[in-house]
Amino acid sequence: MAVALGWVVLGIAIAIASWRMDRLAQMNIEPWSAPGIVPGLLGVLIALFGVALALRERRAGTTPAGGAPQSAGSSTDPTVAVASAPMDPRIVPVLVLCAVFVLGLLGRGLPFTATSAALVFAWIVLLRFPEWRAAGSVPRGVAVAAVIALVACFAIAHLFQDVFLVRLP
Amino acid sequence: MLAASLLKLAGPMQVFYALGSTLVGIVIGLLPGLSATLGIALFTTLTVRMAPTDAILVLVCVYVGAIYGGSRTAILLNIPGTAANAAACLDGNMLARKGQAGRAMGIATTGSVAGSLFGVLCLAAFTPLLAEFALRFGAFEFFWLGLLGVLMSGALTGSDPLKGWLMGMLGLFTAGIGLDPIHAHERFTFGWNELSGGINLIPALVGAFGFAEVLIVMAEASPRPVVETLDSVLPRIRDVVRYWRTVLRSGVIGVFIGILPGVGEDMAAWTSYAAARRASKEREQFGKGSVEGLIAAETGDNAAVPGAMIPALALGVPGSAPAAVLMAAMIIHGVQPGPMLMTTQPQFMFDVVAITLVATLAILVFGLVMVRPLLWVLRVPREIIMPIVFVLCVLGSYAIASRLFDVYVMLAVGVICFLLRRRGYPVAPFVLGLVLGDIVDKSLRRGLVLSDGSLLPFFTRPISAVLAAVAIVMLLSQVPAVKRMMARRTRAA
Repeated sequence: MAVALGWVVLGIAIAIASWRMDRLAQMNIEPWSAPGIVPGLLGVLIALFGVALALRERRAGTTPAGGAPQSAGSSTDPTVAVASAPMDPRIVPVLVLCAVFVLGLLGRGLPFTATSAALVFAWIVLLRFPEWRAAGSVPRGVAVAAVIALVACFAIAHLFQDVFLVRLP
Repeated sequence: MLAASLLKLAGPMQVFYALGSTLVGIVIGLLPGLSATLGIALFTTLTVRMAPTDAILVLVCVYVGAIYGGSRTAILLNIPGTAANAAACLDGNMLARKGQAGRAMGIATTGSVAGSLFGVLCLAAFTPLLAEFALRFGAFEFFWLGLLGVLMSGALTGSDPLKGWLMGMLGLFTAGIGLDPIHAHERFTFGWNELSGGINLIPALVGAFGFAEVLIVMAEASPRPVVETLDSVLPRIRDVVRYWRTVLRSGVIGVFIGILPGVGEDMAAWTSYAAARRASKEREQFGKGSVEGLIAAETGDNAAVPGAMIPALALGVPGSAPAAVLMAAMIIHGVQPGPMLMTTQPQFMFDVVAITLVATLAILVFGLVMVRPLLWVLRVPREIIMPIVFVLCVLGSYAIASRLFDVYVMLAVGVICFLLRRRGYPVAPFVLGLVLGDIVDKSLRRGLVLSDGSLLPFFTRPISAVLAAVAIVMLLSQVPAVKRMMARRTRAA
């Protein structure tokens, strides 16, 4: 229900902002080509669909994660399976790592190869450490992770910078 | 003209590009979570500085390779490598469990090549016809066509049309952020200079299909075991000859569904599978390791690949999410898809036909000779593959315009799409909305200006009326009261 109401709020906010948008009348612009027309209509549609979703979920009494039952002949964008699958808690450190890398390290004057290798190394170690500890192979695992991170990130940086002539961040 | 296009691809570098990118495409398809759309989006950033024909060669080969490669994972892991291969899981994995994994892969290769070849024929035959027909289209028709693409994608690519449409509308809205395409007035930029240029398509796509997929894969509790034993992967001629009707039927269905705006390969596979099951004399075998079922699914999804390129080239409206990215790449390389393409760059359509043909031959080669080495990829733990894919997503987003802002867009879109996918929202309609946002926005406002604010031409011009009727029927069919009425009538009949 919360997500459905979120859509309604978003739709109304878009519609209001579009209504208040400059219609460029002082430039003798045709009112039918005003910049806010299409976003405004989309805002109304988003709000209406959000209301329909909220009503449906209210009728159903619950908020099913996977949406309505799949009808015969509909495709399987695996969203249904994704929605119903249990979530691995390790996703939280992964999200934190990604955010720290992009928002904290990228574009701060640090060499991209080094920062990306550090990210890959930390990602592998963080997620595989329990397995290595159980198998008694922590030093070997850490060493392999370091090699993989360095080789992969050096190769990626070389590919982008020297082969495809892309500037690195 | 086709011969000239084929000659262009005969150079050693072009052969290298074709083989290399098809192989990369197959690997992308093999890895659960990495989609054809992500592959094309990432390679678009890598091929920006290449000659247009070479760049499109690489992208089409990645596209064809990824859709084909996903069948391997479906057969061996019972997980579709890409959404297009979900139907192949049913019978492919059952065959593998019976010790016929090699045979299943041979059948998948045969079906993929047959479907792709049939699609290539249709691409060559129908694109010029559709483009000529589309010359009659004006702003009114293009508005409906764009909107219909988003609605159709929303209705058919996920499990819940309402959620699909919401994602489509969100995509259309997101495409409108930045400078308005008619008056260059800033919309929803909140005074942020970086947003004035709008949300760049490729970083948004890399976020939606790349970073979100990385998070989806990492959020899965545990990977499934791989079927290790393999018999011969050489296709048996008997299997192909026996089911030639199924191959033909699935090819037709695949191309038709590919042409429908925004629907895509997964729907083509399921529809082909369902049609084969209805027509089969061995329908009780479906789901238990049916050769016919597997061949139908794989022919259908691969035929949809060239099928999805037909409306992209002729109308500027992509038939699937990967075709949407391919279309964006064409625009980056100075090719403007749409009805005028056959007039301004007629050779380009034949280039695409020749490229798809070459990609099909490449999957045949790799399908027969690279089975065992490619399976090694499936044994690499996801904790090693996914951080590397994330680094590629970051660099891919940055590469297009060398702006950190694009990386932030990728990150934000990825997290939002991940959370929405966990709630059952499909991503494909969002992508279609992003691609078609410009056409819908400009066409609606131009149409209103032409008609002096009247909505009548949107419903009374013949082609507009047909497109409007389809859109309205599609929307009404999801209204609960209408659904109940239709169910009552079906029961009564």
